[in-house]
Amino acid sequence: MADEQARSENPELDSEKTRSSLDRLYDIYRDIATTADRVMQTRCPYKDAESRCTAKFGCQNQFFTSDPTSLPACAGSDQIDYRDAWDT
Amino acid sequence: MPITHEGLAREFEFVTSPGEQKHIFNGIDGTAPIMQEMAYELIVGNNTEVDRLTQEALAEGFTANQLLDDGLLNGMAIVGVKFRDNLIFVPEVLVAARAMKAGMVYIEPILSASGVEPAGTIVMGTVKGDLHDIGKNLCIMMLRGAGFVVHDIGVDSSPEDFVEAFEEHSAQVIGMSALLTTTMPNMGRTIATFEDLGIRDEVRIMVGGAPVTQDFADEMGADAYGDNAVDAVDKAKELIKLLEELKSS
Repeated sequence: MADEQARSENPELDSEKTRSSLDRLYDIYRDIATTADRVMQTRCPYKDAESRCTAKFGCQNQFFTSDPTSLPACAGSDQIDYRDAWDT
Repeated sequence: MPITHEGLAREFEFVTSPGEQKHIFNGIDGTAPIMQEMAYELIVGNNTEVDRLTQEALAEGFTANQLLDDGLLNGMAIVGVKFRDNLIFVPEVLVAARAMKAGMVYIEPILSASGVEPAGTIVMGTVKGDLHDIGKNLCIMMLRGAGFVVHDIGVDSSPEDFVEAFEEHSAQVIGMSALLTTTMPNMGRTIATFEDLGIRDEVRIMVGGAPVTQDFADEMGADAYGDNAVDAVDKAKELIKLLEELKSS
């Protein structure tokens, strides 16, 4: 459906400009991946900006609150290798 | 003209480097309200809204170039700055990447129709017994950013899951990820399944993950090992090139 809509309503495209845009997107993602490699040296990648755990597996640093619908808090300190706390 | 969308204006305040401020502001300056809204919804990771706004903008006659440049890329540029400055972290980035994907679903067919072909088709998954998905998800984000069509089969994927996805999507490359030493052998089992079914030559297989090494990849019979997400893109490009050369010879 997305394919049909795109073709029928918006056929024109500046290919050169598009390639430049896609290159820019790749550059942004490459910087993000490089930053991720750096950040993951110390901070668990499953820990979000509000220090909640987004992992779908068990971890000793998960601290569950009384609200069963909310994500568990992360009790990791970022001082000790976080991977040791992951359930394997 | 100032940034008219209140949420986007707030997000723009996180960009503090003068050079980046100028670059990103110039990108946003003068863009239509719907583009600014799209950029904002991407930053906050609202893929449903990005989906809706993309459809709405296309119906209103905005071009794919405008959607990409004025909406999606402006949003992702701010996400990149916030991540680098430790204002957001990997989960928020991946949610924003999912929102980007929601918009790209409508743009990719326009790209194809205009001769901007995908770089290739890849199936990615974390192997059986392994629930760790961050590395895989970062690789998927990078591969999509490099123009690949990526089908994510998720975590805990059996050899049969990989084979099924390969056949369903006519993938050229299979990417397997593992974080645990205990699940790494499942990479080899998956490769063996492709061999047993007589389809090993039709696909190229790359592996990655924290405990995985080039030696292990060689031992398992993989075609390539990706050390990180950027490397995975380079390896995928090489594999597809080799596969196409093989098929044309």
